[in-house]
Amino acid sequence: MTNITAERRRRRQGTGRFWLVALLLNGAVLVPFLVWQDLRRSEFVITPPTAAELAAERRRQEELARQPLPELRKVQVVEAKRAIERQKKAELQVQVEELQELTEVIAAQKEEQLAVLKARDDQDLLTQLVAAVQAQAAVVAEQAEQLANSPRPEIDPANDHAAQLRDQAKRLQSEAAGLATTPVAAPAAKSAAAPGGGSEAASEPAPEITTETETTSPPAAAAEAESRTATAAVDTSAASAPELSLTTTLNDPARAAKVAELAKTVAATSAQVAAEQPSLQSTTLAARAETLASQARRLAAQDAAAALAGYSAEPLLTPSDLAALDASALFAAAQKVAQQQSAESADSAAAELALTQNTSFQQALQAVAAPTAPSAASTAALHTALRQEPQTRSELNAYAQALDQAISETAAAVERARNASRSAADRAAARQGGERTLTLAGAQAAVATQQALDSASLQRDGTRAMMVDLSGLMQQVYRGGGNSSDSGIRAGSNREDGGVGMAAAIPPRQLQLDAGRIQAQALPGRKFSRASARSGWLFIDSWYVVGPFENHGKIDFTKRHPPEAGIDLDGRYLGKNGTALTWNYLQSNVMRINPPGERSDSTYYGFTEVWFEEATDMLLAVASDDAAKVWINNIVVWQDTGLSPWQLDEGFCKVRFQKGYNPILVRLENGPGPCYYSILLCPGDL
Amino acid sequence: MHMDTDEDEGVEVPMSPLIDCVFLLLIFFLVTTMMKKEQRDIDIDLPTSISALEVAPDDQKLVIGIDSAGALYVDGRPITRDRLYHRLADIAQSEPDKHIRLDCDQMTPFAGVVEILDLCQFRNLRNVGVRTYDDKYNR
Repeated sequence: MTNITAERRRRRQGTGRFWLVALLLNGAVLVPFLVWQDLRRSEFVITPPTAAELAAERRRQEELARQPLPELRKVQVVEAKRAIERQKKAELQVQVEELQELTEVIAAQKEEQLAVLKARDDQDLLTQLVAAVQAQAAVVAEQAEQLANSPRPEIDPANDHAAQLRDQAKRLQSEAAGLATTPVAAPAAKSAAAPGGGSEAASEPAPEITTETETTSPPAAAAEAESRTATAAVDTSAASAPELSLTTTLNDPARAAKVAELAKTVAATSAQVAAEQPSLQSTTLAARAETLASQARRLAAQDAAAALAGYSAEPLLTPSDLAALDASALFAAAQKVAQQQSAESADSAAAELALTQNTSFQQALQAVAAPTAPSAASTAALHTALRQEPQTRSELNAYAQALDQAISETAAAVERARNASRSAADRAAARQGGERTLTLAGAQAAVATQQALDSASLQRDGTRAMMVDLSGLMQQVYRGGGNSSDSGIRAGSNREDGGVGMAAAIPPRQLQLDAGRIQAQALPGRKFSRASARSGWLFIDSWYVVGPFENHGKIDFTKRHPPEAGIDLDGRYLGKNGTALTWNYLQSNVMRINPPGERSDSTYYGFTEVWFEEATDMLLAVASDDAAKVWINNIVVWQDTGLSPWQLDEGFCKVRFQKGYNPILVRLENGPGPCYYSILLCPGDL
Repeated sequence: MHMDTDEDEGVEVPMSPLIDCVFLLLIFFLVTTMMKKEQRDIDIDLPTSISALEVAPDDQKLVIGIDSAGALYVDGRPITRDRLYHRLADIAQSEPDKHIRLDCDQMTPFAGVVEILDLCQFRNLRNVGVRTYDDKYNR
């Protein structure tokens, strides 16, 4: 018995050993196999297959692809559809939530820009209105004075309408003068200065104008009716005179309306005086009409801006709301948010453009391209595909593809929103930074740069260009901190500021170059370092170009287009004849850059960057057909006007580049015929 | 006759097959974990090449994709040109040696490929490769 038990134990041990050996053998085979597979995948050099092998493999795969797959059962299709939808819907929902957040951010940025824009419009409006009222009141007072001094024995002196008109006109004049002397841009100081001369005069009770004049004729009767209205308006404005002293916030449309009301009163008084003495009508009435028309336009513009500022976005969908939607509804929500985001971005870009170009919001809005949206047909087809219940394998594949496309389109919208938000933030930071850091030295240097360019342009002797040394001025601008501001430096490049005489310290000198040799030897390049093997003249060959914008056959650099407000390589603009414009990458193997799709009477922009190992002075040669304006680091370094063919030695200046990347923007104005431009750089002096 | 059946006929769990199963499960999970990588490919037809060199997989590389319509992608996600422009500038500062792989469709406009290559070169990003398709590696 003991033997039997021992035998069984031995058998069990033998069985255990067998399995152990089997396991080891299994592992010994499997592990080297996997290692071999891994090594095979990581092999660095593989003998390429022959063309015959490739063709055979391709045929085999094509044959496999042609074989129909077995059809799925309906239950399988339904389950597969649910699984696909669950997975993709979660991804789509995340994108919609992000898109909503970005849209909120962009809307907030737009509101901020519109508030700044509206404050500027308010200031402009008030300045204009006050000036108009003052001028009109002065004229009316003068006429009323003449009227009162004219001998009119038939009128009772105690009830002399002319004398009352004179008093009223003088009071209005005083009130208008008070408005004009009140500072516009300092609300805190205004409240203290509010009870000034104008306000005191206006707060006095207006003299009652009696209407029992004996010299009533039909025109005079109408004037009397106006007079009643005018008197009431004067009383109203007199009662609210402290508010007219601009103590309220600049964004109060009611205040501007009250100023307009005062202007209307002055105009009514003016008409009354004119009715009393028709010989004085001509210039006064014309001025009044012009003033009122201008005032009405400004008020209308302000109303439009206010309406836009008050625009409220659609309420956001919560995550739970989004989770309750099916894929089709979710995509529809994404489309709706994307459209809202596009509209907000366009408004934001237009507001920024209006701020930098000093134009109205409506004009800027016309310059900004309409928001891009997928075609209605493709969107409708996508919605249809997402709504269907697949029954077969092919329908299931179509459904999955539609979901992928929906996700892809939403992801693209999210990316656009991210970019728009970042661009708006950058522009606002640049604008605010410029306002904060632009020093007098920087502004003066920028102005001097412009003057030096003008001086060189004037002294061009027909065949040889003058070389202007701008390096010192540019260095001064860099030190002045003004280079961070688009609006600051570009706005400072007009000639109305200081800096007079700075350009005169750097007289242009004549430069003569061998254009043929330069054209033959110049090499492309955008990176400059001491160790570079390339020397001599280098031309910039890689550009982002956008155009054509409309210039109506007139070279006018004061009319600015969106690229001057900030470079956004994803920007879409409205160009000549309403065409949508985008930036195009252009690399040329010759120095002369020809914008794609050139048109006559058009404006083009070219943008690129150059890199310098260290701050370097370079000789810059600009040539253009016809006129061009060039910015380096947002500083105007070249501007020529007039229709001229492309000439390599058209203009030179010595410029200073900063260490690192330096943006270059070229504005090319084309008249009739072709258009070209070139930018060449040469280290050192010649 | 006494038969000792209590300890000899007792039911025991066979450990060896169990260990074998566990071992196979372990291998299965190891392999599937290795295969689960971030999906960074886009739906394009890569150009065919029979002379390309295979490089070791690198999950840290930046994958820039351009589809047949010229749309840009980074790591499988759409990106705009301006965004890519600035992103490459950031990468050039933080990781100048970063490996960049360019995935282009056979029908991608060549100007788009040149633009990205030129941008990388300008930003001093020189570790750039173009992905191609080779049947040999897909057998």
